[in-house]
Amino acid sequence: MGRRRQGKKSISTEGAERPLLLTPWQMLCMQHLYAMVTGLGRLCRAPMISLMTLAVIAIAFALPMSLFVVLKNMQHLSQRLGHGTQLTIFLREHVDMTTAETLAAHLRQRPDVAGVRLISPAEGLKDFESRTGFAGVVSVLQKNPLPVVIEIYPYMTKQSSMVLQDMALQFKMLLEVDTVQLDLQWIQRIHTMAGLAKRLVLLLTGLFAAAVYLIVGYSIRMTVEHSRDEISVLKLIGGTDSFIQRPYLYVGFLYGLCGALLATVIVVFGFYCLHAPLLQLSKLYNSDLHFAGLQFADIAVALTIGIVLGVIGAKLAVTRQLESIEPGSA
Amino acid sequence: MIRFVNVSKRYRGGHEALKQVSFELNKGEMAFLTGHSGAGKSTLLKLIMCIERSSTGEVYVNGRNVISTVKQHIPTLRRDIGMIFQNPELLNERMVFDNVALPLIIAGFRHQEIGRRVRAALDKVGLLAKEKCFPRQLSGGEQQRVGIARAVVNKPALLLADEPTGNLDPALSAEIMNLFKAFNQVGVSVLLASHDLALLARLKHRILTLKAGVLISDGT
Repeated sequence: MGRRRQGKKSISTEGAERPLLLTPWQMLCMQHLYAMVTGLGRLCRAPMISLMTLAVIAIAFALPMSLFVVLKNMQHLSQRLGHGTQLTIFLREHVDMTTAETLAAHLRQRPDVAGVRLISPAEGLKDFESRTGFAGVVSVLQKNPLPVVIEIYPYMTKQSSMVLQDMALQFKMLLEVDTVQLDLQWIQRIHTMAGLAKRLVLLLTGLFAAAVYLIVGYSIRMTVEHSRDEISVLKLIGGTDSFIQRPYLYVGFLYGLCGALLATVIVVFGFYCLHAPLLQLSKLYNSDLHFAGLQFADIAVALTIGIVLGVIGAKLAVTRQLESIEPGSA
Repeated sequence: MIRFVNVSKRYRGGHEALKQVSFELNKGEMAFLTGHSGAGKSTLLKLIMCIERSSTGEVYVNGRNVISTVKQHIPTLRRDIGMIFQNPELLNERMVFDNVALPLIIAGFRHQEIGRRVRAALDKVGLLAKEKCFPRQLSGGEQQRVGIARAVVNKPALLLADEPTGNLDPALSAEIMNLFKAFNQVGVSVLLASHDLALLARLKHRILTLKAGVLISDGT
């Protein structure tokens, strides 16, 4: 209001053909530009300190970011393994193929079953031979000892180990069924590990976010401390608190943005270094696993978090200190 | 322009810097405020700038009650007053031009207008050629003149100065005083605190004398 009044005064006394003051929007843009340049100038004035602060922020950021990449790949892996989950139903000895086929068709109807594979005793034996290398076993045995086997592939979307166990119990109640095999332990292990990793990432992200906030806050406090005289002068000539603190907020913004960018570079570089050996390792285990690095969306989220932390850290640090600086007190 | 009504200021430690001070400074008037160190000169100026608040009494600047000004409105109040200190309080990392331009940037003036006014102010204090210098490259007198240019660039109706010649030799002091007189001649009210009685006596303006916080005399 005061500015507008002053503007009218100036215009009325000095001619109305050209306004002397900027419109509120122009003024906001101009003051932001001024604050950005001033903030950048502050960072450039002590380049080594700025770079070191930036490096600390980047490292603090890179750790949860790399853990996030690890977690993403673990979740992907656990999903892939989850898709391979199956229940193996061994039918009783006396059940013939026709009854088994009827049963398989019946099971296929269930809404929680994605696929059913029927394995005849002959097929089972062939499979056994090829896997174990006991090629002559058939000639030794008088009779194929293997029962008919039905493999059930359940839908994995909402499957938990409890549901799978429940399914196994239901199958076991059937008359034709001898035993049901469900190897739950490894599914539980991988799920638990993924859950643990997720929590770890969340916990570390919280910790490192706090670290970034503290580092930015500390360095801004130091900068404000060095600029006590300047702030005192600005207050004296009518600078509002928002005008005075804006350059520091830009410093926080730049720390957050550049720190997150540098962290992205570190993580992308680390991923690039590890990708080839990981693929090689995966091949050695006869697996065709793919490893995913940081996506564009992940980087966008990281930059946003960096900027928000930087600005909040700066804002809290500078607001508290501005209160203590008054003209003539410096 | 300035009106003090029974103003007292007691600091937190119990020291009473001003006791029942009342006076009025009219629009376009120039007056000196004098007294020994610790007499309350700086406190009086700080009350006008709302750097300190009075314990009792009322302070009016341009018809506005300074004491009841809320914190958010203090910056706009200060923009209407030009203040000069003994130490010119310049930003050493910025050029002379940028130092003088600051009040205009804060007030939101257009770029061309800023350039025009800053150069006019620097011309008035005779430092137009030094607009690209940094404060540390200037002499004490020149620095003080940059401070004056910054105080007047916004064309305030009131100029306050706290011992502006305190660090300067007599010749430079006289030069600075002439600058204040020149501003007063174009209608700016000036209140100048100084303990240089010899200098003040020569200038033949109204003199307010403070002694231990009490206004003991008011006249030429």
